[in-house]
Amino acid sequence: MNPLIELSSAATILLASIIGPMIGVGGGFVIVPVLTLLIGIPMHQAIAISLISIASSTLTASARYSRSGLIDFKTGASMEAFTVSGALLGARFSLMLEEGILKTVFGIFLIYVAYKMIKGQSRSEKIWKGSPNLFAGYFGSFLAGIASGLLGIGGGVLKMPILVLLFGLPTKVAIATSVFMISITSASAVMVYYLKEVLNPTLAMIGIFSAGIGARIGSAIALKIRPEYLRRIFGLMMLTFSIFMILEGVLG
Amino acid sequence: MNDDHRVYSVMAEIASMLILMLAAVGIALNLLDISPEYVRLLGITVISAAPFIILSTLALLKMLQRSFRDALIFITIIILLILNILL
Repeated sequence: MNPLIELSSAATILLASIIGPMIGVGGGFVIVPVLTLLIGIPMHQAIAISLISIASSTLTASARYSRSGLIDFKTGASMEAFTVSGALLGARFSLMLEEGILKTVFGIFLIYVAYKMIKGQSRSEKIWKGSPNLFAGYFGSFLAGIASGLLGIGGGVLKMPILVLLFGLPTKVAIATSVFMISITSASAVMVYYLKEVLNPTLAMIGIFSAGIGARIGSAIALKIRPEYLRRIFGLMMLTFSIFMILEGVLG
Repeated sequence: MNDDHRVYSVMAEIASMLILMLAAVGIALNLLDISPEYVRLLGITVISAAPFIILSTLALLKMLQRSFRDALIFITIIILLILNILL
Protein backbone atom coordinates (compact mmCIF):
# COMPACT_ATOMS: atom_id res chain seq x y z
CA MET A 1 0.00 0.00 0.00
CA ASN A 2 1.12 3.57 -0.77
CA PRO A 3 2.84 5.14 2.31
CA LEU A 4 1.08 8.43 1.55
CA ILE A 5 -2.31 6.71 1.94
CA GLU A 6 -1.18 5.14 5.23
CA LEU A 7 0.14 8.45 6.57
CA SER A 8 -2.89 10.50 5.54
CA SER A 9 -5.25 7.84 6.94
CA ALA A 10 -3.36 7.91 10.25
CA ALA A 11 -3.55 11.72 10.41
CA THR A 12 -7.28 11.72 9.59
CA ILE A 13 -8.15 9.10 12.22
CA LEU A 14 -5.93 10.77 14.84
CA LEU A 15 -7.56 14.16 14.24
CA ALA A 16 -11.09 12.71 14.19
CA SER A 17 -10.44 10.86 17.45
CA ILE A 18 -9.06 13.99 19.15
CA ILE A 19 -11.91 16.24 18.01
CA GLY A 20 -14.68 13.61 18.30
CA PRO A 21 -14.95 13.68 22.11
CA MET A 22 -14.90 17.51 22.09
CA ILE A 23 -17.91 17.82 19.79
CA GLY A 24 -19.71 14.70 20.99
CA VAL A 25 -19.37 12.38 17.98
CA GLY A 26 -17.45 9.12 17.56
CA GLY A 27 -15.50 10.26 14.52
CA GLY A 28 -17.05 8.05 11.83
CA PHE A 29 -18.71 11.08 10.24
CA VAL A 30 -15.28 12.55 9.58
CA ILE A 31 -13.27 9.36 8.95
CA VAL A 32 -15.51 7.79 6.25
CA PRO A 33 -15.91 10.91 4.01
CA VAL A 34 -12.21 11.87 4.23
CA LEU A 35 -11.01 8.32 3.51
CA THR A 36 -13.33 7.94 0.52
CA LEU A 37 -13.48 11.46 -0.97
CA LEU A 38 -9.95 12.75 -0.28
CA ILE A 39 -7.77 9.64 0.10
CA GLY A 40 -9.63 7.47 -2.42
CA ILE A 41 -10.17 4.34 -0.32
CA PRO A 42 -13.20 2.26 -1.47
CA MET A 43 -16.35 2.94 0.57
CA HIS A 44 -16.69 -0.54 2.14
CA GLN A 45 -13.04 -0.53 3.23
CA ALA A 46 -13.42 2.98 4.66
CA ILE A 47 -16.48 1.84 6.66
CA ALA A 48 -14.55 -1.13 8.09
CA ILE A 49 -11.54 1.05 9.03
CA SER A 50 -13.85 3.62 10.59
CA LEU A 51 -15.57 0.93 12.69
CA ILE A 52 -12.32 -0.57 14.00
CA SER A 53 -10.98 2.92 14.80
CA ILE A 54 -14.17 3.79 16.66
CA ALA A 55 -13.98 0.47 18.57
CA SER A 56 -10.45 1.35 19.69
CA SER A 57 -11.20 4.95 20.70
CA THR A 58 -14.47 4.17 22.52
CA LEU A 59 -12.91 1.27 24.45
CA THR A 60 -10.30 3.73 25.77
CA ALA A 61 -12.90 6.42 26.50
CA SER A 62 -15.33 4.01 28.18
CA ALA A 63 -12.60 2.88 30.63
CA ARG A 64 -12.24 6.53 31.70
CA TYR A 65 -16.00 7.07 31.97
CA SER A 66 -16.32 3.88 34.00
CA ARG A 67 -13.70 5.12 36.47
CA SER A 68 -15.97 8.11 37.04
CA GLY A 69 -18.88 5.73 37.70
CA LEU A 70 -20.95 7.36 34.95
CA ILE A 71 -21.93 4.32 32.85
CA ASP A 72 -25.42 2.87 33.35
CA PHE A 73 -24.54 -0.74 32.49
CA LYS A 74 -28.05 -2.11 32.91
CA THR A 75 -29.71 0.32 30.47
CA GLY A 76 -26.73 0.22 28.09
CA ALA A 77 -26.51 -3.57 28.01
CA SER A 78 -30.25 -4.08 27.55
CA MET A 79 -30.29 -1.60 24.64
CA GLU A 80 -27.12 -3.12 23.23
CA ALA A 81 -28.82 -6.48 22.61
CA PHE A 82 -30.97 -4.69 20.00
CA THR A 83 -28.19 -2.43 18.74
CA VAL A 84 -25.82 -5.35 18.11
CA SER A 85 -28.57 -7.21 16.20
CA GLY A 86 -29.13 -4.09 14.08
CA ALA A 87 -25.39 -3.55 13.53
CA LEU A 88 -24.87 -7.13 12.31
CA LEU A 89 -27.78 -6.76 9.90
CA GLY A 90 -26.58 -3.33 8.79
CA ALA A 91 -23.05 -4.58 8.09
CA ARG A 92 -24.31 -7.52 6.02
CA PHE A 93 -26.73 -5.23 4.17
CA SER A 94 -23.92 -2.75 3.49
CA LEU A 95 -21.82 -5.43 1.78
CA MET A 96 -24.76 -6.16 -0.54
CA LEU A 97 -25.15 -2.52 -1.58
CA GLU A 98 -23.28 -0.80 -4.38
CA GLU A 99 -20.81 1.91 -3.45
CA GLY A 100 -22.86 4.67 -5.13
CA ILE A 101 -26.01 3.87 -3.13
CA LEU A 102 -24.01 3.68 0.09
CA LYS A 103 -22.41 7.08 -0.58
CA THR A 104 -25.82 8.65 -1.24
CA VAL A 105 -27.31 7.19 1.96
CA PHE A 106 -24.25 8.34 3.94
CA GLY A 107 -24.51 11.83 2.42
CA ILE A 108 -28.19 12.15 3.35
CA PHE A 109 -27.48 10.98 6.91
CA LEU A 110 -24.56 13.42 7.11
CA ILE A 111 -26.91 16.34 6.34
CA TYR A 112 -28.95 15.43 9.44
CA VAL A 113 -25.82 15.27 11.64
CA ALA A 114 -24.45 18.53 10.19
CA TYR A 115 -27.79 20.24 10.89
CA LYS A 116 -27.75 19.01 14.51
CA MET A 117 -24.17 20.23 14.97
CA ILE A 118 -24.75 23.68 13.47
CA LYS A 119 -28.01 24.12 15.39
CA GLY A 120 -26.35 23.13 18.69
CA GLN A 121 -28.03 21.47 21.67
CA SER A 122 -31.68 22.33 22.03
CA ARG A 123 -32.78 23.42 25.48
CA SER A 124 -36.43 22.84 24.69
CA GLU A 125 -36.08 19.07 24.33
CA LYS A 126 -38.35 17.41 26.86
CA ILE A 127 -36.97 14.61 29.01
CA TRP A 128 -39.23 11.60 29.47
CA LYS A 129 -40.51 11.90 33.05
CA GLY A 130 -42.57 8.71 33.31
CA SER A 131 -41.36 5.11 33.20
CA PRO A 132 -38.94 4.46 30.29
CA ASN A 133 -40.59 3.97 26.91
CA LEU A 134 -39.04 0.54 26.34
CA PHE A 135 -40.57 -0.32 22.97
CA ALA A 136 -39.60 2.97 21.34
CA GLY A 137 -36.18 2.85 23.02
CA TYR A 138 -35.34 -0.65 21.86
CA PHE A 139 -36.67 -0.05 18.35
CA GLY A 140 -34.60 3.13 18.15
CA SER A 141 -31.54 1.19 19.37
CA PHE A 142 -32.09 -1.38 16.63
CA LEU A 143 -32.22 1.40 14.00
CA ALA A 144 -29.09 3.03 15.47
CA GLY A 145 -27.34 -0.34 15.15
CA ILE A 146 -28.37 -0.67 11.50
CA ALA A 147 -26.99 2.83 10.80
CA SER A 148 -23.75 1.95 12.58
CA GLY A 149 -23.12 -1.31 10.70
CA LEU A 150 -24.31 0.11 7.38
CA LEU A 151 -22.38 3.40 7.38
CA GLY A 152 -19.40 2.80 9.69
CA ILE A 153 -20.46 5.28 12.35
CA GLY A 154 -20.72 4.91 16.12
CA GLY A 155 -24.37 5.93 16.11
CA GLY A 156 -24.04 8.16 19.18
CA VAL A 157 -26.14 10.88 17.51
CA LEU A 158 -29.05 8.44 17.46
CA LYS A 159 -28.40 6.75 20.81
CA MET A 160 -28.05 9.96 22.82
CA PRO A 161 -31.63 11.21 22.22
CA ILE A 162 -32.95 7.72 23.04
CA LEU A 163 -31.04 7.55 26.33
CA VAL A 164 -31.96 11.09 27.37
CA LEU A 165 -35.49 11.49 26.01
CA LEU A 166 -36.87 7.95 26.30
CA PHE A 167 -34.90 6.46 29.21
CA GLY A 168 -34.57 9.74 31.15
CA LEU A 169 -30.82 9.46 31.80
CA PRO A 170 -28.91 12.64 32.74
CA THR A 171 -26.82 13.94 29.82
CA LYS A 172 -23.43 13.02 31.37
CA VAL A 173 -24.58 9.47 32.13
CA ALA A 174 -26.12 9.21 28.65
CA ILE A 175 -22.82 10.24 27.00
CA ALA A 176 -20.84 7.68 29.04
CA THR A 177 -23.41 4.92 28.43
CA SER A 178 -23.51 5.74 24.72
CA VAL A 179 -19.69 5.43 24.50
CA PHE A 180 -19.83 2.04 26.29
CA MET A 181 -22.51 0.88 23.83
CA ILE A 182 -20.60 2.13 20.77
CA SER A 183 -17.49 0.13 21.78
CA ILE A 184 -19.54 -3.09 21.61
CA THR A 185 -21.57 -2.15 18.51
CA SER A 186 -18.56 -1.18 16.41
CA ALA A 187 -16.45 -4.17 17.51
CA SER A 188 -19.23 -6.60 16.60
CA ALA A 189 -20.00 -4.89 13.26
CA VAL A 190 -16.32 -4.82 12.24
CA MET A 191 -16.18 -8.59 12.65
CA VAL A 192 -18.60 -8.94 9.72
CA TYR A 193 -16.31 -6.87 7.50
CA TYR A 194 -13.24 -8.74 8.77
CA LEU A 195 -14.73 -12.19 8.15
CA LYS A 196 -15.78 -11.09 4.64
CA GLU A 197 -12.15 -9.94 4.07
CA VAL A 198 -13.11 -6.33 3.41
CA LEU A 199 -10.95 -4.97 6.24
CA ASN A 200 -7.43 -3.99 5.15
CA PRO A 201 -5.16 -5.31 7.96
CA THR A 202 -2.44 -2.65 7.56
CA LEU A 203 -4.93 0.22 7.64
CA ALA A 204 -6.76 -1.51 10.51
CA MET A 205 -3.56 -1.46 12.62
CA ILE A 206 -3.02 2.22 11.74
CA GLY A 207 -6.66 2.95 12.63
CA ILE A 208 -6.48 1.16 15.98
CA PHE A 209 -3.25 2.92 16.94
CA SER A 210 -4.19 6.43 15.78
CA ALA A 211 -7.67 6.23 17.33
CA GLY A 212 -6.33 4.90 20.65
CA ILE A 213 -3.79 7.74 20.90
CA GLY A 214 -6.32 10.31 19.64
CA ALA A 215 -8.94 9.26 22.19
CA ARG A 216 -6.42 9.65 25.03
CA ILE A 217 -5.51 13.18 23.89
CA GLY A 218 -9.11 14.13 23.04
CA SER A 219 -10.65 13.01 26.33
CA ALA A 220 -7.91 14.84 28.26
CA ILE A 221 -8.61 18.20 26.61
CA ALA A 222 -12.35 17.77 25.91
CA LEU A 223 -13.36 19.23 29.27
CA LYS A 224 -11.05 22.25 29.00
CA ILE A 225 -12.39 23.89 25.85
CA ARG A 226 -15.67 25.42 24.70
CA PRO A 227 -16.79 23.24 21.79
CA GLU A 228 -19.46 25.59 20.32
CA TYR A 229 -17.35 27.11 17.53
CA LEU A 230 -15.68 23.79 16.81
CA ARG A 231 -19.11 22.13 16.46
CA ARG A 232 -20.26 24.78 13.96
CA ILE A 233 -17.05 24.56 11.91
CA PHE A 234 -17.32 20.78 11.78
CA GLY A 235 -21.03 21.02 11.04
CA LEU A 236 -20.26 23.15 7.96
CA MET A 237 -17.45 20.77 6.97
CA MET A 238 -19.82 17.80 7.22
CA LEU A 239 -22.42 19.66 5.15
CA THR A 240 -19.80 20.12 2.42
CA PHE A 241 -18.83 16.44 2.65
CA SER A 242 -22.47 15.40 2.43
CA ILE A 243 -22.97 17.34 -0.83
CA PHE A 244 -19.87 15.73 -2.39
CA MET A 245 -20.87 12.28 -1.11
CA ILE A 246 -24.35 12.57 -2.65
CA LEU A 247 -22.91 13.94 -5.92
CA GLU A 248 -20.37 11.10 -6.12
CA GLY A 249 -23.04 8.57 -5.21
CA VAL A 250 -25.52 9.80 -7.82
CA LEU A 251 -23.12 10.72 -10.63
CA GLY A 252 -20.65 7.88 -9.99
CA MET B 1 -17.94 3.76 41.79
CA ASN B 2 -19.38 0.26 42.31
CA ASP B 3 -17.93 -3.19 41.48
CA ASP B 4 -19.27 -3.12 37.89
CA HIS B 5 -17.50 0.15 37.16
CA ARG B 6 -14.30 -1.00 38.84
CA VAL B 7 -14.17 -4.31 36.93
CA TYR B 8 -15.12 -2.70 33.62
CA SER B 9 -12.62 0.16 33.86
CA VAL B 10 -9.72 -2.17 34.71
CA MET B 11 -10.57 -4.67 31.96
CA ALA B 12 -11.26 -2.01 29.31
CA GLU B 13 -8.00 -0.23 30.18
CA ILE B 14 -6.00 -3.49 29.92
CA ALA B 15 -7.73 -4.38 26.62
CA SER B 16 -7.13 -0.93 25.10
CA MET B 17 -3.45 -0.94 26.14
CA LEU B 18 -2.99 -4.44 24.71
CA ILE B 19 -4.64 -3.44 21.44
CA LEU B 20 -2.51 -0.29 21.24
CA MET B 21 0.69 -2.28 21.80
CA LEU B 22 -0.24 -4.90 19.19
CA ALA B 23 -1.09 -2.17 16.70
CA ALA B 24 2.25 -0.43 17.39
CA VAL B 25 4.16 -3.69 16.87
CA GLY B 26 2.16 -4.36 13.69
CA ILE B 27 2.97 -0.91 12.29
CA ALA B 28 6.66 -1.17 13.28
CA LEU B 29 7.04 -4.57 11.58
CA ASN B 30 5.28 -3.19 8.53
CA LEU B 31 7.76 -0.29 8.37
CA LEU B 32 10.61 -2.82 8.52
CA ASP B 33 9.05 -4.62 5.56
CA ILE B 34 8.38 -7.71 7.64
CA SER B 35 4.88 -8.96 6.90
CA PRO B 36 3.35 -9.05 10.38
CA GLU B 37 0.33 -11.18 9.48
CA TYR B 38 0.08 -12.91 12.86
CA VAL B 39 0.41 -9.60 14.79
CA ARG B 40 -2.30 -8.00 12.66
CA LEU B 41 -4.50 -11.03 13.09
CA LEU B 42 -3.95 -10.96 16.85
CA GLY B 43 -4.68 -7.21 17.03
CA ILE B 44 -7.93 -7.50 15.09
CA THR B 45 -8.95 -10.59 17.08
CA VAL B 46 -8.26 -8.90 20.41
CA ILE B 47 -10.27 -5.79 19.51
CA SER B 48 -13.16 -7.94 18.32
CA ALA B 49 -12.98 -10.19 21.36
CA ALA B 50 -12.46 -7.45 23.99
CA PRO B 51 -16.16 -6.58 24.47
CA PHE B 52 -16.99 -10.30 24.52
CA ILE B 53 -14.46 -10.98 27.33
CA ILE B 54 -15.47 -7.88 29.31
CA LEU B 55 -19.19 -8.66 29.04
CA SER B 56 -18.56 -12.28 30.09
CA THR B 57 -16.78 -11.01 33.21
CA LEU B 58 -19.63 -8.62 33.98
CA ALA B 59 -22.16 -11.45 33.54
CA LEU B 60 -20.12 -13.62 35.90
CA LEU B 61 -19.93 -10.77 38.40
CA LYS B 62 -23.72 -10.33 38.25
CA MET B 63 -24.22 -14.05 38.81
CA LEU B 64 -21.91 -13.97 41.84
CA GLN B 65 -23.98 -11.02 43.12
CA ARG B 66 -27.09 -13.15 42.48
CA SER B 67 -28.54 -10.55 40.04
CA PHE B 68 -29.58 -13.19 37.53
CA ARG B 69 -31.81 -10.87 35.48
CA ASP B 70 -28.94 -8.47 34.90
CA ALA B 71 -26.63 -11.39 34.10
CA LEU B 72 -29.14 -12.58 31.50
CA ILE B 73 -28.92 -9.23 29.67
CA PHE B 74 -25.14 -9.57 29.33
CA ILE B 75 -25.42 -13.25 28.33
CA THR B 76 -27.92 -12.31 25.55
CA ILE B 77 -25.36 -9.98 23.96
CA ILE B 78 -22.62 -12.62 24.30
CA ILE B 79 -24.86 -15.15 22.49
CA LEU B 80 -25.49 -12.58 19.74
CA LEU B 81 -21.75 -12.04 19.35
CA ILE B 82 -21.12 -15.80 19.12
CA LEU B 83 -23.92 -16.14 16.56
CA ASN B 84 -22.21 -13.41 14.57
CA ILE B 85 -19.01 -15.45 14.39
CA LEU B 86 -20.84 -18.67 13.51
CA LEU B 87 -23.17 -17.26 10.83
